[in-house]
Amino acid sequence: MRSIRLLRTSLQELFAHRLRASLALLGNGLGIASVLVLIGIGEGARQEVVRGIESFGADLLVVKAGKVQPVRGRVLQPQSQVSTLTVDDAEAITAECPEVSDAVPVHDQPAQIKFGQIATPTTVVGTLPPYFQVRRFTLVRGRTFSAAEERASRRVAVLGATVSETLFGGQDPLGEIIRVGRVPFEVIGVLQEKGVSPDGADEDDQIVVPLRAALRRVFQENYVEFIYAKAHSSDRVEPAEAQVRQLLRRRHRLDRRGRPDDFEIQNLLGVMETRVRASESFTLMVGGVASLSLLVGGFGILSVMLLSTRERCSEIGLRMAVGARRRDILGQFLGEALVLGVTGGVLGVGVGLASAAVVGRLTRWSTAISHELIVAAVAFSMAVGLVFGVIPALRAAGLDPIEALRRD
Amino acid sequence: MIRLADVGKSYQKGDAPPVHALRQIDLELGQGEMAAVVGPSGSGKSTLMNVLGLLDRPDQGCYQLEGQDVSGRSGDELAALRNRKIGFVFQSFYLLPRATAAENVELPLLYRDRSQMRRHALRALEEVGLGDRADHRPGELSGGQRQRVAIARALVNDPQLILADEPTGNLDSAVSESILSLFLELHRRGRTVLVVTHDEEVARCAERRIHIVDGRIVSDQRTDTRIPTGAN
Ligand SMILES: Nc1ncnc2c1ncn2[C@@H]1O[C@H](COP(=O)(O)OP(=O)(O)OP(=O)(O)O)[C@@H](O)[C@H]1O
Ligand SMILES: [Mg+2]
Repeated sequence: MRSIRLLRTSLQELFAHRLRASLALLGNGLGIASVLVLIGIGEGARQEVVRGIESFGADLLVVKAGKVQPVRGRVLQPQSQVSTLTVDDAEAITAECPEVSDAVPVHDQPAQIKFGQIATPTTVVGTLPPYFQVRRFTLVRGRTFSAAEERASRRVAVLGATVSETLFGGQDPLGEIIRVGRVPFEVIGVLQEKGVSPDGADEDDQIVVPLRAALRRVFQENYVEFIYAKAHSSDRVEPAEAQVRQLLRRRHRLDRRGRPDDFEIQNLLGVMETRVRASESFTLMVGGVASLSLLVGGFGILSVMLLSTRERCSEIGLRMAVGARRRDILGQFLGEALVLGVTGGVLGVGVGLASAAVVGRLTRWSTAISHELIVAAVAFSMAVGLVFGVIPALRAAGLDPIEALRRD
Repeated sequence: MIRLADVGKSYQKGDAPPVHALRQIDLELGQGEMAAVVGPSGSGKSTLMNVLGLLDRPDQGCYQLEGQDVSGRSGDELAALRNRKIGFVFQSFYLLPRATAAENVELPLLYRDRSQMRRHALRALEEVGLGDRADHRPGELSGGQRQRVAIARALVNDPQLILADEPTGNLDSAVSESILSLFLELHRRGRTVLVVTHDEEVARCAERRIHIVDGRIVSDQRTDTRIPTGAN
């Protein structure tokens, strides 16, 4: 109570110079705001990567057919059509790799699809029913196809959200017949929107159909392009990868002839970890640069407080004459600097949040400013106020009362 | 209540010969006394007030305030003594320009634990006849009123000793007179008042007149006061 009253009279004098005090607040506030925005952008990028991994499935291995094969010192590009992976491989993985809970063969290819007069290019994904669960797709309407339907090469299709929107707009697509190339498929379901996968593909821009139907009717192929193998959990991905590799090498008879792998296993976690690390170091770097602007804000507070203590000599002298101890004067001016720091910090948080929102809207970068970051920003600018307020406050407290009174 | 014995204070600037602002001052001031300090400019009046007010330490001699030797006290102890025992009134009033009269008067209370600050401040303002100006800022008050606010601030902690260094120096003669009668009033209510002044009128009113020349007390006379003294 006493100190609040004390600080009030004190702040009245400080803020009597409005422009000056506002400039100090501005310097400090903009520093805080820029740190907040930059860290927010970096953190947003990191979270997007993490979200990507999570939506794709951090427990997922992708076994791709074909691999760059060094043959007699030359490097052959993977052939455009590599026919090394089969549906049987996928079944074998499910059956024989205890670390893998499910393995789903996939063959996908771009294709033109049509409904009435509307046509759109998309990706046709031929696969087995566990695909939806392994890739964490959920339905907004209809149903997925069953294993029996798959075995029977039924021509049914589950539409991605984008495709459904393009072909049907607001209409109900269930039961409608679309054409993939020339082949008619009946729409039986629509997938929930999922967003962009970590490798940049729009996973809503696809249709999912039974593998057998796709291979025979659409692609005229009999191999699969890749197999999704789901480990029991994201930290069992590595042993799962080892088992899959061992099994496939045996099945493809690579060991006996000492051949390199004719497939490639991608482990998303590994790929994404480097990306996360990159975005984190970006955050750290820009955060560091932006912290320099906090220093600038600090110097603003320093100079305002120095000016203020110099101009208010007679006030300081008078306070001492009526009984202020050195520590009272010290506390008073530290308090003022603290108020400048906190006010600047709060202002900065406001400006920072607003500009992060603007940046987010203009650039499609997602920014993430956490509560912790906001608290840290205010605390930091409080600390800046304190640190840069120490010198002026010590100066004020060190004045001799008579000289201070006489000075102006 | 005040006793100075052989007090001296000198200032040394570089190689110049030292300036003796005070030399061998012996002075006693009793409880409830009112004294005027007069003397030419530069004679050491302000220095004496600063020493008496514990703002300055003498180089030499002994100062007893209410029987206590204050020579060896720390800065914080002196601040506390100033806060409780001494009220200052200066030539230039030293009011905080953005604070109201009441807030200015409260200032000494902020440096000690005291409840009901506003009530004390208002009472002090009433004592100087400004009870109705509590919420005015110094800029909205006349010179004489400002000095009254400063006097209220000096009174608010109920100090034993009031030290006024040329309190009417910035005021015209009519206003000076009212400030002067205010000091006489305070004196009549039993406070110990010491006033530095060039103003003959003021000096004549005090029951005691201390004349300083060149850092020395050259005369210390009790005069016939027009206003009868005595506690309350
Ligand atoms: N800080 C200082 N440094 C050097 N000399 C000083 C200092 N303070 C006072 N003096 C000197 O001490 C002497 C007494 O000064 P003081 O201010 O006490 O005089 P005064 O009687 O109050 O004068 P005035 O009537 O003009 O106010 C003067 O000669 C002055 O120059
Ligand atoms: Mg003087």
